[in-house]
Amino acid sequence: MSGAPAIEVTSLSKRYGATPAVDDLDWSGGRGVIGLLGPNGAGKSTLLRMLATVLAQDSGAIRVFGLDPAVADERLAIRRRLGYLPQEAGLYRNFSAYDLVDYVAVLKEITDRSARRDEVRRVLGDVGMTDDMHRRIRTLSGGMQRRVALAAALLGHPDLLVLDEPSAGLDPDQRLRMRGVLSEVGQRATVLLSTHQTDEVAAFCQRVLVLDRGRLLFDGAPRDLARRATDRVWVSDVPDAGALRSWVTGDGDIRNIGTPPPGATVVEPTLDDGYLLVATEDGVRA
Amino acid sequence: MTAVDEWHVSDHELERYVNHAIPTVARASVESHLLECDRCRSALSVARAPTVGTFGADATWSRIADRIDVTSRPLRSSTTALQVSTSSPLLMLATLAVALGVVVSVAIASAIAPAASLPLFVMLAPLAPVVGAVLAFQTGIDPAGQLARATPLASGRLPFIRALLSCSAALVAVAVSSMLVPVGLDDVAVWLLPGLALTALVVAISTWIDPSRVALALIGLWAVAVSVWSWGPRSRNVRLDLGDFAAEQRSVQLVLITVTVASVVVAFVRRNELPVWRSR
Repeated sequence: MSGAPAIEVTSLSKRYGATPAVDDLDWSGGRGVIGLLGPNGAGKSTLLRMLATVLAQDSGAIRVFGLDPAVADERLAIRRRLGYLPQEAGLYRNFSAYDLVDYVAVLKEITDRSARRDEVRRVLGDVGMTDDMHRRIRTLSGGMQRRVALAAALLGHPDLLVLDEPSAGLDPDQRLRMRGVLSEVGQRATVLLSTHQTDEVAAFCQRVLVLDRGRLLFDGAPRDLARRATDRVWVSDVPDAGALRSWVTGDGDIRNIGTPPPGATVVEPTLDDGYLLVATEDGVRA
Repeated sequence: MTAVDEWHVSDHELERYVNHAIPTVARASVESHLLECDRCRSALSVARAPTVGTFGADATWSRIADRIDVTSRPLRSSTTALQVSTSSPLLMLATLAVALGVVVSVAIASAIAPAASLPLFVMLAPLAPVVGAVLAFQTGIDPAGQLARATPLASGRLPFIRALLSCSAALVAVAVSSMLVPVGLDDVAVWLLPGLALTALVVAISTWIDPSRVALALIGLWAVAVSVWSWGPRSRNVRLDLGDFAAEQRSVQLVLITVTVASVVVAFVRRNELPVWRSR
């Protein structure tokens, strides 16, 4: 990944009552596909909403393309280069997929009718909705509705794509297509997406962030996250009481992370292991 | 290079390939065939030609699509602003409900309790445009839901234009219902000025705090004031009071006009300070 940072946040904080959602976060990111991992309530959506200019921070600074979203004119300039997929889009169910995306295209100031039609067809094609573009939203499956929303986010070739769980509800084939589209976008733009799926991060993200309770626990390449668990993963026949986490694998083995006991069968770590280790060790420290 | 076998990619498959609408495995198969087949590559280059062309079938199709686009959206064709403003079926329905509610309420009161119809009209007339305007600021009113919030047009203009349209529809309904009660043309100022002032005030204040709260507070105060005026222990003849107000209370009218103008100026200056930017 290379390029000047599209996003820079400094001492960024957001609280909901007494609960910190994002806690004193410093981070910057540029071109490429960046995955945001973390458990539910980690602050992923809050961070993405702030970066997508739809939520104001309590304190700290956000700069997107060097612009401050708290300033109305700069916020407008950011939105002209932004594509945002919220976690719950809440689409009007009586519009057709085409009409819905066409409407969002108007909101994105694509006013020329011919150009807009081409662009709407392009993004619906990108997400594999060409054959279903004239069906009403209410007749589409959850995965298809998600793809319509993703198509709307892709309108206008945004320089920054902020996607909150874009693969939720997609089947494997659709996920594969989505990865292809986002990887292509990531060649020239910044794609920041949240997910619960480490395999997704491993498959096409150049960089991964791990967030928990609003704090950044890890920032680096996916392989480096996996390496965090080097010599920290072992398999056994029964759960190891000394392990930080233990679970049964599909093969029936018990996989453990933590500090292996003498003589343990240490195995090659996966991204899952690295993520669980980072998240769990932070929980133990807290 | 010539074709390597008898099979070729059909036009339909090719179109689906161009539009990224075939499964990954089939796509890989088409791609491997295209590498070997001149004929299909030629067909692909035609399929990839701009769909909005200027010649022959492409141009005809383009014109047909344009016509369908226009005729299917009669309310959304004149300008971008009007197009997006009227693209909220929920807002249109809610505005219609408010407008009909005012007319029907006053009509029913006129029929079964004529004495109550004028106070009811005085109570509802200024509130209808307020409700109409506040509806336009609700985040759930946009057909694109949360998707709309991070778009450039959502940065101020859209809710204000929608508020103006919704408010105007409510005022038309109030004007219609005024024909059902003993309110003369001279008394227009009695319902129009408070309506405009309250609505503009709510819109202006909504650039700082949630418009629903402001509207609820003002609606409550207005309802109590009209109730006390009409039915309280020191109530007078509402019809006479209205006449007095319209004819003599020029200073009050001036205050209402001033509040309206000042609120419009504030709302315009702070048009980018949307409630959604401050919300959770």
